[in-house]
Amino acid sequence: MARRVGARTVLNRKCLSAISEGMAEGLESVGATAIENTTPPDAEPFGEGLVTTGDWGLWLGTKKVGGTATKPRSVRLGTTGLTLIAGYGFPGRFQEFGTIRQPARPFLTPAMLETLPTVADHLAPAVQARLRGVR
Amino acid sequence: MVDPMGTIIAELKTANLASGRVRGGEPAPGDAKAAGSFQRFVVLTDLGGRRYGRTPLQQLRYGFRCYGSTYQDARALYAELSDTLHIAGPRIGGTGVAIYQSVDDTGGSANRDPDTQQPYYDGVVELFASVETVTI
Repeated sequence: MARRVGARTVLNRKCLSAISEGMAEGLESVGATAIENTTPPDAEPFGEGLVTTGDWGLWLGTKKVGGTATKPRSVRLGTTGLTLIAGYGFPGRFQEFGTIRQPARPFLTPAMLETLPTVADHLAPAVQARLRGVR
Repeated sequence: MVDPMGTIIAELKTANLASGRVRGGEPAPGDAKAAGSFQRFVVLTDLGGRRYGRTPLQQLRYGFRCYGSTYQDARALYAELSDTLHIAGPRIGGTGVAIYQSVDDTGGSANRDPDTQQPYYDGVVELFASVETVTI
């Protein structure tokens, strides 16, 4: 009778933690880059008002883990997973979408479309760096 | 590269949204009335998009503002717009612009225009369309 060869797979929990931490670090970089890529319309007094309200925040589940933005009231966070929110304060929607007397001057959507394809470039190095330190 | 906005406006006018007062970019003269005489109209704005590298497709985002006489009226107009565009499926416009899919991406949110105080609902529709015209 042939001997049964057994194999035991051990889950490396440290790797899972490293991946989560790496992804959080990468997403922080995505949020900061997205806000940096925006060019909000500016008017006198220059450098004040809308241009200063861009911010981002990162939540793990319902707990904030990065950034300085406050969570918008309408956002419902899941109990698990990472959520990145980046954007501008209240008057920003009138510049982005326009009003009856003011044409739309989109600044956040173009920056978002420019940043989204590069998300993997932010996440990969961060995750790889964390995984390198795990045995 | 073709612009699908005209096709979207034509679809919304065909669905008789806001009695045909569907505008691209900004309201037409006479759309915006004073308080007490508010009327329905829709404004679409081009938020930009990206072109795919290896396929003749473009992914575009259009902002919409559905103005109504009251918040409830604006909400109802937004619902008509969403019903017309959300997952409408592949179609070809009169000018040969092929749209593969349109999606109500954000839902709507209620606001009040800062210039006239007219209530409106705004949001974003995402479109997947061809970059060239298509002839059947």
